[in-house]
Amino acid sequence: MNESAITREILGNIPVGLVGAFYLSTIAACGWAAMVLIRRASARHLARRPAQPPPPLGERLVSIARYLVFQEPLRRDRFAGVAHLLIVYGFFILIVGTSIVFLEHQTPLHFFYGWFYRIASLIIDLGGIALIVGLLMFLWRRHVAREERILQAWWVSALAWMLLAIAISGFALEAARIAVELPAFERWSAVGYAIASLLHAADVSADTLQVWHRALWGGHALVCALFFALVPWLFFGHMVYGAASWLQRRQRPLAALRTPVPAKLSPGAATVRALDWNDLLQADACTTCGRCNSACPAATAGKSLRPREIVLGIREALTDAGVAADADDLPGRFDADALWSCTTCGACNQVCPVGIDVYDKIVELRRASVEAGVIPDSAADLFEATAAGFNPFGKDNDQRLDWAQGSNPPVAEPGEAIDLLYWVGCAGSFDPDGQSISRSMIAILDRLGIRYRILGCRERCTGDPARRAGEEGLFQQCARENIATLAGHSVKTVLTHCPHCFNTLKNEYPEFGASFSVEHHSQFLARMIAEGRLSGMEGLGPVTYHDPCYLGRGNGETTAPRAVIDAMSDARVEMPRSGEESFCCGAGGGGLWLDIAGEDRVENIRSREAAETGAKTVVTGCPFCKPMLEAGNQSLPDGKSTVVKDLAELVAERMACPDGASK
Amino acid sequence: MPGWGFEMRRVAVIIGSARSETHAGTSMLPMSDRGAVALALARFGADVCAYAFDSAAGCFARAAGVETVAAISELKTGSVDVALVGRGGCGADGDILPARLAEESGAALVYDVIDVHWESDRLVVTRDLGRGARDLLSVRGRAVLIVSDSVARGPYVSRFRINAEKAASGESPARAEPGGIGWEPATPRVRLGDHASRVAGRAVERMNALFGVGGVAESAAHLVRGSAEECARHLLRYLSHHGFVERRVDGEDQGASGKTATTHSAEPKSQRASVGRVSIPLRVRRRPRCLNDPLLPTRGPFEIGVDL
Ligand code: SF4
Ligand code: SF4
Repeated sequence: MNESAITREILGNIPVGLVGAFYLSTIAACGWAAMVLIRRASARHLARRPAQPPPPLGERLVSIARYLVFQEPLRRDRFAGVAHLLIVYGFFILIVGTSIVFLEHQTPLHFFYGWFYRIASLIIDLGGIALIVGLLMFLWRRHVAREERILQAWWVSALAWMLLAIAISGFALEAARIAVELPAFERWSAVGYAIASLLHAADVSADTLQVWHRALWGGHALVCALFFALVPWLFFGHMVYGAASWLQRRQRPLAALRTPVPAKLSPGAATVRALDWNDLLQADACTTCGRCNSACPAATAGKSLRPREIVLGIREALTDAGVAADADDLPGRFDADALWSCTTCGACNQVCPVGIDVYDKIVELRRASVEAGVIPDSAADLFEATAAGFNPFGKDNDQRLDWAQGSNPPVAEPGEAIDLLYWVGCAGSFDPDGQSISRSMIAILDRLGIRYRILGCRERCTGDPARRAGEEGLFQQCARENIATLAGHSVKTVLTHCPHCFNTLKNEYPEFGASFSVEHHSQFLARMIAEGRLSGMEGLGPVTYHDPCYLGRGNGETTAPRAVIDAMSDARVEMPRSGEESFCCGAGGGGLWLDIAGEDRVENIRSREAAETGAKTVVTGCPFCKPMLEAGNQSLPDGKSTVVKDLAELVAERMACPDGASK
Repeated sequence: MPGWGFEMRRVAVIIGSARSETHAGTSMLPMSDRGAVALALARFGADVCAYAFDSAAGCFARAAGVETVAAISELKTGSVDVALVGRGGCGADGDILPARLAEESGAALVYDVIDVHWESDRLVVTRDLGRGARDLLSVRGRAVLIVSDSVARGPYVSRFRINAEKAASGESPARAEPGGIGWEPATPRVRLGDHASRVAGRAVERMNALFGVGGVAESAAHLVRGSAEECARHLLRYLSHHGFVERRVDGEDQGASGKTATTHSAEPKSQRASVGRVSIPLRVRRRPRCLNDPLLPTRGPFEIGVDL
């Protein structure tokens, strides 16, 4: 057979009027979609400009290419990851296939014949199969398995059903076309040929097939045009906005909060336009997948917070505001308890497949509530205590060194240059659980003969709890005062056992002029072990490690604490949720003070998980996690409770008794 | 106000940050001062003027939404009809300022106030007696109300707003103190600063200090200086505090001048004293709260004050 005869007549059986109607309706649909997209972009651009410029273009292009090709963020949920990959790849292939047909038909180019035709037909059919399989997987999950996290809304299902209609009608019209003559080379259109063979076997007449073909083509074209028109609409929009928001995304440690700018404007999102463009673009990008809800410790504990509903609420507020005057009370749209339940653990940001910074928006809403003065009493207590005594525990700052009675740590003289500053932190200074960690750290440092200083009563709260709870002004005041104190000592390195202080000093203070390196005590201890300066601590029984959110997920440090534990125990067991995927203890984001009630308590859930490992010792690396897990212990049945220890406490104990006396 | 005989419009809050009394370097106002501002704004709205002892208090008042803020030095006798005074607004000398203000302007002086509102021709004041017990006082005339620390918390005033006010008034919003505070020993201790000695310790010691009696009165700054009449009043107050003179309970001498005096027959004897023309209510000594104690009922309203 002549190679050039191996092709097909494009739009052969379709009346010119129908083709014209298709082109017109497609142009109208695309025009409509473009108009809606532009209107939406205009509404977004009435909001605040983003605080930071986007990353360099090259970096962004690489990031979006990786995102589209590999879809890594989606693969945390393997089922959904595979389904989505099939849909995206299948859809992309069909779009390319349609473009090829268009080019062949409407331009002088002529390439759609022979082997190219055969292979293109095969790939397009495979693409169609991939699309259908992916869609069926999603639809099964939505309508049969009815997974809890899935938003059961018709406008979410509509996209899958519409794409399914496009794919199936595409195969059907292909089959109707092939069945008229059933040429052998059309075997490459595997699906169409198979269905066509059935039609042929059923003896459907050519005339009937042509009528069916025309009707199917018309229907297919109509659904396609409708699809184009709906691209910017609700769930459909994630196809455009998801990629766009990913393109704007700035890589950062998950625990680092951005500073609101411009500084002269009141912090927080009192109205939807007080958020920035990227926040609003992200809200439009939400796929409603509900992964954030599933990962959220507050939601898991039965509190009213559902991070997805926060994002969708913001999207709705933007729709309501449109380009009209901005007078809406944005925090008022949400249940106050929901806003104050967030522990800023970052799990929602981490699992979001389109990279939405969910908890940042919650903090923006809290900031607006703080500026409006409408906050829970517990939050006001926290702020007032921090403002009055420079610590959130409501103690007099003069008592900051009470923990050190008897151990006599070296306090820096005013103006003394400090190479290594041990930052004790408020929990380490005032909370009994934290004080024991501080004493252990002093013992370790002294035993290792390391020259260090502490600030004593000149140390003040870093402002972390206040910032996470929305008191940005107070945080910035704390930051400036601490930075001035540290600059007065020309501090080179700060060592701290608190992941919250670690995160704030390392990631947030540089924006206010800090320039020192920061090390968490787990990193320091792991380094000491690696250098051989800490040894002989083996023999500890089975332990499990709870990753503090602000160290593991928030700053990616999951190996150093494990290296320290492994130097003491060869029986480390992991909880199901560990490492960067750890589960919060409930203390972050001011949770230690706010304590919003739910059906369960976050710390109880985590303590149960820890106890289920069978380990009798739970190790952590945070003075907030420790008391929370100890509190959670109270909820365990008799005989199940565990001993909660900080890394430093264990190291100090085992250094003191290397012969194993207390092991 | 109808029935008052004059326009009872001039409402003031008198506040201060009481910096010496709380923590070193803090710019937090005591709860009673913050509560006084919130209460004044909630009940009297735009009529309120704030008199501030220090710039921190002034900035707080402005940030909270008080439009007219003045320095305490601008407070003139007779220029205020209702004054809500916070603990910081009492100044460093205990309750002398509100007592003088009440005396000089012929106002009722009420302590431990947790709420106040207009009711037709009178001011209804809620006094906190502790453990849920309250008195409702009906004041017809000028009033100086010393707000309790247990007053309801008002809307939170953010640091951003306070700092913005500070910046507007030319003060540095965040006072960095690099290397400003030296090493302090770990053992808890009592601060011995001049202000601290005036306000630290038990009430008896403070009273002794005020009169130069006892070990802590090493500074003459504590002594009351005033006219013979004023000194006599304070002496009587001291003596009555220690039970050397009998406390007046009811039927107080309201004086010939027509100035307002409090009449509060329902209060227990031990809680009141009257010296000369001015009745001096003593602060209710709060018993430690016991969780099993039932909350006590609200009493009143009791009429206090006279029609002018
Ligand atoms: S940060 Fe954590 S607690 Fe807050 S919404 Fe996200 S997952 Fe929930
Ligand atoms: S915010 Fe992200 S994780 Fe949550 S529902 Fe939307 S897309 Fe899914």
